[in-house]
Amino acid sequence: MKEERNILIAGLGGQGVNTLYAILQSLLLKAGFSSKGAIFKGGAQKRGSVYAMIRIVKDGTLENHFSPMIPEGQLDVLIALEAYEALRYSRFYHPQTSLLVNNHRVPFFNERYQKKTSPDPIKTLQTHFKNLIIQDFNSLSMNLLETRKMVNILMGLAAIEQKWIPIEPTDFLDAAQQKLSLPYNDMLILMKEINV
Amino acid sequence: MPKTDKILLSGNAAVAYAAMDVGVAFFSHYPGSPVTTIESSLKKLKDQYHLPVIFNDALNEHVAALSAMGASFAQAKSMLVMKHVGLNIAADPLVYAGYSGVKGGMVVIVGTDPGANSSTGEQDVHWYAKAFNFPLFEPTNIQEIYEQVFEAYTLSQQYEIPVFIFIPVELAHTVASVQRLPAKKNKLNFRFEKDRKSYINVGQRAVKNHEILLDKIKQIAKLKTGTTFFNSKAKFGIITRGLAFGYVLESILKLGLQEHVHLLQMERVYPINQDIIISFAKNKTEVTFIEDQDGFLEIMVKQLCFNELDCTIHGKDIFPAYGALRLDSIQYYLSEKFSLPVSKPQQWNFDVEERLGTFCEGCPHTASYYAIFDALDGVDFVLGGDIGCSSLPPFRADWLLCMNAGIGVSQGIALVSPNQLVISTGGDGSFFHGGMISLQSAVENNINLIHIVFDNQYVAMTGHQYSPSQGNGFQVEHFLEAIGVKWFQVVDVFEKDGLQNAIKTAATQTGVRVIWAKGACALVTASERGKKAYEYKVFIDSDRCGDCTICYEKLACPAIQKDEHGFFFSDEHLCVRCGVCKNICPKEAISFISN
Repeated sequence: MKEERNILIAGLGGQGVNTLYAILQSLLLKAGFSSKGAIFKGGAQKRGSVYAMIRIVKDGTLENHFSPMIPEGQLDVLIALEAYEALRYSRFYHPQTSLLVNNHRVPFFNERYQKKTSPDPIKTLQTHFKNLIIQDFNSLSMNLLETRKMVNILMGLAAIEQKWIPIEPTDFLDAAQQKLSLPYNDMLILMKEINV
Repeated sequence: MPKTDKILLSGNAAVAYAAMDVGVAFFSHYPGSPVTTIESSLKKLKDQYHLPVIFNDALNEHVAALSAMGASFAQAKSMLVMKHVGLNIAADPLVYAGYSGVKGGMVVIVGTDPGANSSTGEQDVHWYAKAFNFPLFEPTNIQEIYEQVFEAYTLSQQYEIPVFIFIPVELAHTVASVQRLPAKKNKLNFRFEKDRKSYINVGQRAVKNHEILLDKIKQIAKLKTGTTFFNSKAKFGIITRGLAFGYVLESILKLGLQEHVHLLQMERVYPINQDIIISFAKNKTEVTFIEDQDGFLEIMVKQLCFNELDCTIHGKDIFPAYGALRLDSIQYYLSEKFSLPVSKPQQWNFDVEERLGTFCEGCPHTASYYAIFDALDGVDFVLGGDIGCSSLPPFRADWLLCMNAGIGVSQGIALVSPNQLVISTGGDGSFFHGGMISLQSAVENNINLIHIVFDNQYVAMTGHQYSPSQGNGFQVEHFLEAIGVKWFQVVDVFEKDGLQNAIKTAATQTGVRVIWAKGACALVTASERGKKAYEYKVFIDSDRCGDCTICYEKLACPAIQKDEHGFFFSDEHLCVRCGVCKNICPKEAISFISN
């Protein structure tokens, strides 16, 4: 692992971001990483932009002396639970940022009465970034587990599988099972998905 | 009592654990982001460890503050929690808490929000520390939050003075490992001892108590106020506080400026130890204050050390007073100052709309706002908005300011612009917070307005705290009659045309008219929704649909969406089967069908 890894989880409303953030941050700290994080929930109960930052620093000089805030242009990993939200934090990206994006779009409400359309987020991302994985995790979650509520867990797992986050997949699944009280069958399906 | 080992805690949970370990006996609060979960965390600990903590879930910050003062007068260690704008409400009593002093210790935790992440404003409340003469601690990390609660109680008890701790939004939800301290023994029996000299503040007694308070502040100012880092011989110094300290420290270390910078972190931000500042600045040619918001430290130091400092001082001429302070802006500033190569990242500027939030599926406010605009189509009316879920999304009402701004601002407009129909709105949380007094005032002044109370039975936006509208003896009809409201109706917002008809009738009347619009928060009726979802779903018949877009644009229910062919459909995973769309469809194209 390089000396610093900055991770941003973006989504809407909060529950998905909050759960994934809490699982990852706990595992990183338990694994002995020097890791700090912060979550920004916004004022909205539903469909407001929510994001969490996690910084892992392996640097003798900095030790624990770093802030949880990611500087602009220094994001290493983005996990976007919604496609438009993948564009929102672009000030943090650099050309090599790894982007994991859920190909699911939640329209903007003002488009309903202002007759305004937003540009296609996926096309925009594909134009500017190379290290990009786009997948419809909503459908994947529905197909595997018959619920859309597991999108965050599947995306966290995918980022770990890509070695973007220094956590063992089995540790992640164990933590997810504890946090969400997942049924044993769901665990089996997810373990099969990652070939454990 | 749990073991005092290292545990992972959020900033808010760290306050709760510290409250438990330091032996807080009385906890009062009014919910508000970002510090809402301190109360729920402490309640969980109370249940888990049978803590002897007494809670007062006050209906506004004014009462919360006074009750915390009362508990401390009676020797209990009290904790008071609110968000930054709540401090405006609590300011009236708290200014007296300095004069009267406190006995059992009293700590006031305030959630701050530079950048307005979860608030209607980013007001800098540091000035209240100076106005009230309360010592103020500002932690930089979760461990410090925990430790400063202990330190604050020690100071509060020693000097019989309330003490502030400010927690910014970035720290409130941050999770980190915390080393706990040995728990203090709880005091269990309390008694109010009369002390009229302290508690009756009038005339010369108030002047004397003010003098005593200022003397306490002078003594506290002499205590250790901060910690220095790096090269004390450096000609360039930085003074910082709170979250900014972490940014500055990281920037100095990353840029390798340890030999070139002398750094002073102010852990206690008020009162300031003048000697420490003068000693820090004496060999400097330049000192820069790096802090968020208005620049409280910079201004206080300039005032305190007027004509005592020879160095150049910078601060708010470099870092803006608005928005949250950013790590990269500090790195750029230091890089340029020391002529280090600056590699500014490639910038993308994607056009992404701000998501200002919306109502949840099945939210009673969706139905209510639809009813207001439907009933008053073509009428010249103004619509006063309030704080809370009912203000989401914020573009529906004509203003969104502070608690009870709906009914308050409406009164001025109604008096000076009598030809406009004035409708004010507010949630039940706002109503009990202070709206009932505003309503009484409107009645006393016979003001022409319609006030709609959106009663969703909870203080929903901050996590479903209890609202008196749930029961426990509050009867809305009796209350409205008692305060002299001549015309009112209680309606169910999910009942077809119920609210529309009430508004139309109210508009033909004069004076104060109240519509109590009932409908439980959709988020707390999940089990009921689950049953309905199992039985039936909403079907939109595209053959019958007239494409009027009422359900999509005017009702704007998030569950109603458009497919790739432009046909409307109800997302069965989002829809909670409230039936409002079915009620309003003019073509009767929307129906429930069995699963």
